[in-house]
Amino acid sequence: MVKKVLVLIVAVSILRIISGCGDCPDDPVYFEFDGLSISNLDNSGAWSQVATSDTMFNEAVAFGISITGYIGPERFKSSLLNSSGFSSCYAFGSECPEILKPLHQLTAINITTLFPIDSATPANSHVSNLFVASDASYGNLYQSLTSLIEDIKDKTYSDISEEAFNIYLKSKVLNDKARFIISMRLDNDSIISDTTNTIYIKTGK
Amino acid sequence: MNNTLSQIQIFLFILFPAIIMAQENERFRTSFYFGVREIAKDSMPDKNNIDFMNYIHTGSGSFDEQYAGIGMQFKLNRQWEFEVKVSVLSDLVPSHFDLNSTLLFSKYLGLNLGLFTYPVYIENYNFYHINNTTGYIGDINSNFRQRIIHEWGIKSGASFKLDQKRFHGLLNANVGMTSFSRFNESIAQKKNNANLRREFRYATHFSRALFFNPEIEAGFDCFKLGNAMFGAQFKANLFFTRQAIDYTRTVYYWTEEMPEKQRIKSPEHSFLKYDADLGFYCRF
Repeated sequence: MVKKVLVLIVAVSILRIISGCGDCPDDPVYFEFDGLSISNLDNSGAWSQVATSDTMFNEAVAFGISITGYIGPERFKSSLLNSSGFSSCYAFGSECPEILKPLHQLTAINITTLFPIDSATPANSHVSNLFVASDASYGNLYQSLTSLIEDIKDKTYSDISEEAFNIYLKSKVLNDKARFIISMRLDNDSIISDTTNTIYIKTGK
Repeated sequence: MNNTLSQIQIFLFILFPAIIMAQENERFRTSFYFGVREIAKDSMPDKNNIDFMNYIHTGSGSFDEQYAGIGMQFKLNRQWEFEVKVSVLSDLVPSHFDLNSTLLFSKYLGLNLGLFTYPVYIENYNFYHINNTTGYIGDINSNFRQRIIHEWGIKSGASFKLDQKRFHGLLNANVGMTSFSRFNESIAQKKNNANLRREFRYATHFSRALFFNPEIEAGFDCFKLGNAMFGAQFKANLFFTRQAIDYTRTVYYWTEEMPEKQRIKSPEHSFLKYDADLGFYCRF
């Protein structure tokens, strides 16, 4: 009887080891978006690039947005199978990217201008609809902020808990300065917010 | 790749039944040839819309395209003849196919039926936008633009044959319907010192055109080896049409939402292609 029990334990253990030593893990590690950083973009040429200057052309106001996250206690949330018995082991563990997923999804991007943009857009107006976005994988055209949020929804990340994209103002700025408050709303109603530098506007040719 | 596959399928579809139907008195003729090809067409000034016919590669006028080919002819009986010709240009891709069947009414006169396809290069069409757009980066994609399109056609016409001892002559006067294969192309632009991006997407249509295609072929039996007769041959053909490449143009501003779509009818251009080749054949 003892022998049979031992054989059974060994068989189950072998099965568990085999199931643990397989492909890279599918289970995501959850993280929380908690930081927002904004950079200026120079979009005067064919492709935008990060700029250190606070001066932009009046039709080329653009910003790079980076939403960063931290991996909290939720990191250890995992399926019962993988967390029971032996710890999972991976033959090629060092080559497996860590699959990261935000615990709370981005649901809205709100942008408010602190200076008037033109006669129809005074200071403190909501101007999200005047912006379009693009990320590195997108083609030659931009996408609407709504479409961007849809694309980000349920997105998983490899190794780095960061979402990055660029936003571009469609309107021509008739003021000599521009500044925006950019807020990200998550599905738990928390808001991450930051303000751009004051941008000095120069006239395009 | 798909085009090549479909061309091979057509080739097999035509050839295999012909071989299966062979009778005891069958006569085969295989030929190999090397030739030159030239395309000439008129150019028209750029107007409000891109005219892809303006960007067909025509060469320098000194037969700058060479080709090599193989032909297989099968005489089913005294009335029916079938021929398949496959040629390659410098890219060595078998992209030029010519399938013919001839119904002979008499020793000298017959009716020719066939279909064909051959490749045509179009290139630098982005220069239309680069040269005609101010205030924008004319084409964000700075790579050299070239693509191969295929002229497809069906033909029919009178066939005149002459077999005089060792000399064999053939004159076909074909007419038919032709069109370039469809293709999609896009040109992306960005306004200088501004965020505005726009993209022109072109989807061409089949634009049918009538053509005239006289062909001449001359062969001379040189020597016999066993049951096979070897000879030299010369072939030339002229392809003349007035052709356009019509298309639908969709312009996107900023995003893919709410594009402006317009169907464009392009002007017809005179289009002339002539081939001439020398080779040898083996009849058995």
